[in-house]
Amino acid sequence: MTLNELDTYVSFDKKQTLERFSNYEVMVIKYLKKFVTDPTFDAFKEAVANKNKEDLENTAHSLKGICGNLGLTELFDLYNAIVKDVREDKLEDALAKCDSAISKTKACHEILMQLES
Amino acid sequence: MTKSQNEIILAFKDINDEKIRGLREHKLLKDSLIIAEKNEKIKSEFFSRISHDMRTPLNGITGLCILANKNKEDIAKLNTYIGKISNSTKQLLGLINDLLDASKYEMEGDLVTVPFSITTCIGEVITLFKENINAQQKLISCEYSIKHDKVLGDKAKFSQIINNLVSNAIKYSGKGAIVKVNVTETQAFCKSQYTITIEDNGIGMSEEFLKNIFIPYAREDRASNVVGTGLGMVMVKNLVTKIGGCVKIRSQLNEGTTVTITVPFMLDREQEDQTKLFVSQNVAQDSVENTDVNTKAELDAESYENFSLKGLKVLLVEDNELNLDIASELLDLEGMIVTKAKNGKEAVEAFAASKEHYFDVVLMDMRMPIMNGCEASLAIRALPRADANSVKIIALTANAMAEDVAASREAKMDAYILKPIDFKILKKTLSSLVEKKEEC
Repeated sequence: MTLNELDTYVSFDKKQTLERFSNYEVMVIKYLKKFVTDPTFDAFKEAVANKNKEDLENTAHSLKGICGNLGLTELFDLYNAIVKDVREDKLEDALAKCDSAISKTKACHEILMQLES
Repeated sequence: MTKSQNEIILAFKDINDEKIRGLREHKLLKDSLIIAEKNEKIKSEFFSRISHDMRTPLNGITGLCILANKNKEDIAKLNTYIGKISNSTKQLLGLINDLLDASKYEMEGDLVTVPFSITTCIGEVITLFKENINAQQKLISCEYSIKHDKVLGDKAKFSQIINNLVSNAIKYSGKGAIVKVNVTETQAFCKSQYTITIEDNGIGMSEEFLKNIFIPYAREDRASNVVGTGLGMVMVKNLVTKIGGCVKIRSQLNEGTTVTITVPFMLDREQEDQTKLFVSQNVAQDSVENTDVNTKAELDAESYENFSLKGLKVLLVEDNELNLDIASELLDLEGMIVTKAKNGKEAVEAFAASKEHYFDVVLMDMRMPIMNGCEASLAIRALPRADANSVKIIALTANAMAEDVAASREAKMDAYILKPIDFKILKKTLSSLVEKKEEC
C-alpha cells in the first residue's frame, strides 16, 4: 500500500501532513511506521487496565500529539476526547472511550505495517 | 421443598461503590449547608454595610439641604453646600450603579459578539475615570503590545471587566498613585489571546482576604472607608469565565495589586485585511494636566514571509520521543540547528551548559514529567547569565485555553504556538521575536 492509498483505509489528512513534512513522503512513511512500534500505546493500554488516571492522561496526551503530528485525524479526536474527559474528572467516560481507541489504534497499526517504504 | 443438611447459602453484594457514593452525597450536602450558611452571613453583612454606605451620603444630603434652607441669603455658603450635595449624590450614584451592574450581569448571561477595537474599548473605559483621576491627582498609563486591534467578541462584557478592574485600581490607591494597564497579544490561528494586566501601587490586600476575593459581598474591613459592594471582582471572575478567559491576582499589603486577565477573541479578518498587521506601542497617560487617552498605531507589513528559520539555534523540549524526533527532523529541514531535551530539567541543564547567547529560541512543551514547561521556563529565566532573560521561549501547547496561555505568561514565556507545529505560525512568531544573528 502506498501513502496515496492510506486515506482509503484510515482517517489520514494527507495534504496537511505532507505540507508539514515539507512534502517529504519518505519521512512521513518513516514516522508512520515508527508509530507502530512506539511504546506509548503499550503504556496507554497498561494505564487503561490499571485505571490509573495520571498515566492515562499522560499517555493519551502523548498519543494525541503523535496522531496530530502524523495526520491520523480520527485517532487524534479519540485521544483528545479521552484527555478532555480525564481532565474534567470523568474517568468512567474516558475509560468507556478507551476500548474504541485501543481497537482503532490496533487496526491502524495493522494498516500502517503494510505501507510501502 | 426439601431440607438439605450441612448446607448454608452465603450471599455477597459489593456495596463499596454504593457506600462511597452515599458518603460523597453526604459530604456534598454538608458542604452545601456550610456554603449556604456562609453566604447568608456574608449577605447579611453586605446589607448592613450597603445600608450604612447609602445612609451616609443621604444623611449628608438631608443635613446640607436643611443648612442651605437656613442660609438662603448667603450665596457663598449655598455654593459650598451645593458642592457637597453634588459630591454625596455622585457617591450614591456610584454605589447604585455598582448594584445595577451586578443585577444586570445576572440577567444578561448570553454572549453578544460584535466587532470592536481593543484599544478604543479600553480607552473609552479609562476616559470615564478622567475626572476622578484628576481630582485625586493620580496617573494612569496604558501600554499596548498587540498586533491585532480589531476583534470579534462581547464588547459590553469586556468593557465591564476593564471598568471594574480600573475602578478598583483607582479606588484602592491613594493620592498620587500610579495605575498601569498593559495589554499583550498571543496569537494562534484566527484567534488571539489578550492578556490585560492592571497594576496599582495602592493599599493591596491581605493574603487572607485574597482567598475570598471572588466570594460575593466579601470586603476587607480595612477598606471600609471605600464605597463598594463587594461584587466587582465576582462580576469580573464570572464575566471573564463566560468569555472563556481566566483571572489571576497578585497582591501585597500596602504595596499594591496586579490583576491579570487573559481573554480569547476571534480576529476580525475583514478589518485586518484593511489594516494588515497592527503593531501598537501606545502609551496613554492621564495626568492632572493631560487627561486625554492617545492612541498611536503603527502599521506594519507582514514581513514574516521573508523571514528564514535557517541557522537559528533552537532548544527543543518534548517528552515523547517520537514527537521529539518528528519535530526535530522538521526543524532540521527548515535549516534550524536543533538541541533536544526530553523534559524541563534536561532543558534547563542544556541551556545552563550552553555558551551565552548560543540559543536563539527554546521551544518548550508545556506538559512534561519531572519538570514541566512552566517550571523549566522560570528556572531558565532565573539562571545567573546574560541571556537568561533575553532568550525567546515559546510554549508548545496542544490547546489554546486561556489557562495555558496565562500559565505560559506567568512563567515568563514570550509566546505560544499550537502543536503540531505549523511552520507558517512558527515563522510568524519567531520573526516578531527573534533578531537573527548575523552570520560571521
